[in-house]
Amino acid sequence: MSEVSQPAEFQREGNLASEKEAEGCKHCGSALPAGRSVYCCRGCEVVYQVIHDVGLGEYYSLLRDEGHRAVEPGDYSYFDDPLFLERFTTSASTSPDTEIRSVTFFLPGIHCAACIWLLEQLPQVESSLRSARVDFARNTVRIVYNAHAIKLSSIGALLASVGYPPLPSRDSDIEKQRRSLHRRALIRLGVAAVCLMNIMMLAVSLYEGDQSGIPLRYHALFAWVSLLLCVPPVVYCAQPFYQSALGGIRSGVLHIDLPISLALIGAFTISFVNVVLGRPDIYFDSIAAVIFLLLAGRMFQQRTVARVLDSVTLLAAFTPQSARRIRGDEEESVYIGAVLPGDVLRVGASEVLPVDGVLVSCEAFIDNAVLTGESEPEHLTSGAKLFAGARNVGEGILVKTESVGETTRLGSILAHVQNGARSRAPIERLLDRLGRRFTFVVLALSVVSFVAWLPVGVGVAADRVLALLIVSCPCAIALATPLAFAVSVGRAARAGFLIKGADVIERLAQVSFIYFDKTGTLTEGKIAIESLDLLAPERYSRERIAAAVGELERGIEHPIAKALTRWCGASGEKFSEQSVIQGRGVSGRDQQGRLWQAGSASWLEQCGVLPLSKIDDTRSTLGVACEGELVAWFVLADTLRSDAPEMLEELAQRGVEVGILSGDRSGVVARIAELLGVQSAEAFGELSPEQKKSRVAEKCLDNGIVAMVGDGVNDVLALHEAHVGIGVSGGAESCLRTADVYVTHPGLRPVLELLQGAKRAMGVVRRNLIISAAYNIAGSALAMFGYIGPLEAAILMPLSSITVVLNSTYGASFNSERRLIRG
Amino acid sequence: MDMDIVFVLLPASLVLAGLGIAGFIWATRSGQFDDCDTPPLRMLTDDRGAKSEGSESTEE
Repeated sequence: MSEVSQPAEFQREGNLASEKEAEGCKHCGSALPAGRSVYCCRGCEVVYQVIHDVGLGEYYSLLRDEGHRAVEPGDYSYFDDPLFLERFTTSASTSPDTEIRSVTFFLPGIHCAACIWLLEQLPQVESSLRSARVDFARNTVRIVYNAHAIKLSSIGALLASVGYPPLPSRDSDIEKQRRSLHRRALIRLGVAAVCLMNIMMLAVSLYEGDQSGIPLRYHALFAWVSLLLCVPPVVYCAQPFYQSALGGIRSGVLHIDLPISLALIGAFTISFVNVVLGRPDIYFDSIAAVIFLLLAGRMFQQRTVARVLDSVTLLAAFTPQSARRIRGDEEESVYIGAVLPGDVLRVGASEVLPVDGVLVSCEAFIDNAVLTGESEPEHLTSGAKLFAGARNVGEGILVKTESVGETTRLGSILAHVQNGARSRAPIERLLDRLGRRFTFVVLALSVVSFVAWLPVGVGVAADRVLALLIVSCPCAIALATPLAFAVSVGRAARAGFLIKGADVIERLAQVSFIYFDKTGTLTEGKIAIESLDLLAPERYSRERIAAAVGELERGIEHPIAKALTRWCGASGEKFSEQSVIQGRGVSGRDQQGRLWQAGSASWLEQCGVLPLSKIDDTRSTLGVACEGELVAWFVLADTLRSDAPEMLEELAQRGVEVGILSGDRSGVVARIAELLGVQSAEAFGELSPEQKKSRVAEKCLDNGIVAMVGDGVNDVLALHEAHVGIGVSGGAESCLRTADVYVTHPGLRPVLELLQGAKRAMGVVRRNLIISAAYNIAGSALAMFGYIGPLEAAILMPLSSITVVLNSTYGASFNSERRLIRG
Repeated sequence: MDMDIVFVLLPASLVLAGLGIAGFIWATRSGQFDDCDTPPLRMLTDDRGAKSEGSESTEE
């Protein structure tokens, strides 16, 4: 391990030169905005300097792909709240006078080896940290620290300062249980492996002895030792099979593990008897082989499935974990878990509400998009109900808490959605039923075989039955299908499609109708000014209008305002009495005292501005009025995605029908429908979120699978109502709450790829079933007619298992060559 | 051919195998096989400085 003494910049060995020419931000690599030459933002600048200051500059030479944007460090003072400490940290002290604690944080920013290195080197940098251990698969870091020497909030700040803002993570009971199960499974596998290998060694000797003669005492020794070695596998390792089979019997169901359980116990008993009586027919090697291979197959399957379907609780990701509680005159920052109903909280401007409650202040502007899909903020007065997850877009307000955490409206929606995600695909349920019939058939055939071969001899009959029981393998059902789904979901994720569950894939493959949201899905979602139409050019010139609007819209955080400011330019004119009505319009008085207003047609109408009939209603517009008179309007364009017509055409070719649902004006929607070749009967405008949902619900009543493609924030209700909800923007968390799939790539082509990938995945599942059926029929026939014995069966069965497992793992499904774009 | 020594060797090797299994069970129980994804990545980089912390996690 070389001790690096040179300054960080020179460690990069040649990267320095290329870095100077590189155009990206020095820290995260993304494009540099105008006016910045080294870092893309202050955040990256700070992180870069911090990393170098603490001597960890090697981080940059380790990054294979770009780093990630530095995030605003949050306020972590609530980490020091005693309740938080109790819930999220555990004591790791070895002696009573030291206070060593351990804590686990979820760090979504971990994505490569460099991240692991950086985080695990932190104890070198901060001496009060004893150790930092990353779990890459779970994106967590476990930190052991000296609680006397450093506060938890400082640790949080440190993590954020190097670019990994931490989220609290608790080892839930589910995690503990899963880990314990995993360990036990691993031990069973290990024991089976060791016993198998030793039995095999002895078996070689015994087989050789059968051929060329072996003194009796050695044969007896090897046979007895084989017997002993076979006891742990049969008694301990194979327990899962017996438990499933017994459980099935108790509920009156024939479980697919029943034939195998019978085979194992039967074979062991026969072999035991034979050893005692000194007869040569012993099957310990086959028994141990079957046990080991079956356990290995199941473990492989479980690990893949668990890894891929592991979903992190998202509630913590979009409601704040801390709140400002007002007690009398004092305000303190507390952990959200410590907030009780009745507490009065202060929620600042642009902050997210942490609880459900009642508005105490006189008025508030609340953006409830998270829950209702309404993109326009609501104006509420004192006494109104407020919900966790909503955003306060007005001034700071006081809220009296009514419910916290999972009892909030958002919390219960999430819980509901997450529970739904566990459902099994319809085909899996079908296979469960098939599995039971399969077992019945196998058992019936075993009885028939036994009876049929009995005249030849009990030993022979037993052989046949054992061979049959061992060879018949329901692998496609129990093993390969869940595996195929799991692999597909994983591949899809790498290709940029986050799919919530196996059942979604099956539905995706059968989609017959898709409703598209307009803004942001079929269109680019970027507002551009197409033209400015003047109503009274002699009195109000183009320049006058532009100057006024440019000033009024300056500084407002709205896509339309920003587009207008860019287009109009700066005039420097001063306006007084400026007011902004969120999402509706702006107004102000110019230096001559005239009142100017600019906003949506409906708002202007409310303000009494005339005449409005002149405005073209097939386009999106922003009207400009002076002194109550409409003087001009801007035509706003939201350009259609260039690949939209092509994609819709391809969908049509595949037999998928398309419709449009939009909240925008009908005229605009109709025009777009025409451009895209969508039937006007299926293009709807001016829909509220509830109306979108009803349209989808109506369509769902027809035959066929209906999908909805939309924005995760604004189309919440419709996405949830559709058979398959596909979210294409609005951020991962909001989409995954309500949609079944989140597509991280912009555009429409990915939707097509999603459908194709799902079809291919279902193809893999079907192929597995065919292979398995063919194998079982052939294998059973061979066993029943005596062409193969138990040993051959014990070899064949794992082979078929492996075949379907390989087919599942490597079969064609989603194309994972595309890189995941972090959205 | 007299290979009666096998009566000693076989049990002896079984005892060795037993020790191996015992070790494996202990390692699994103490959580050493819980995370098999991070160590391959961790291996690719160097530890810095004289203070290489032994980072044995104490499991609950």
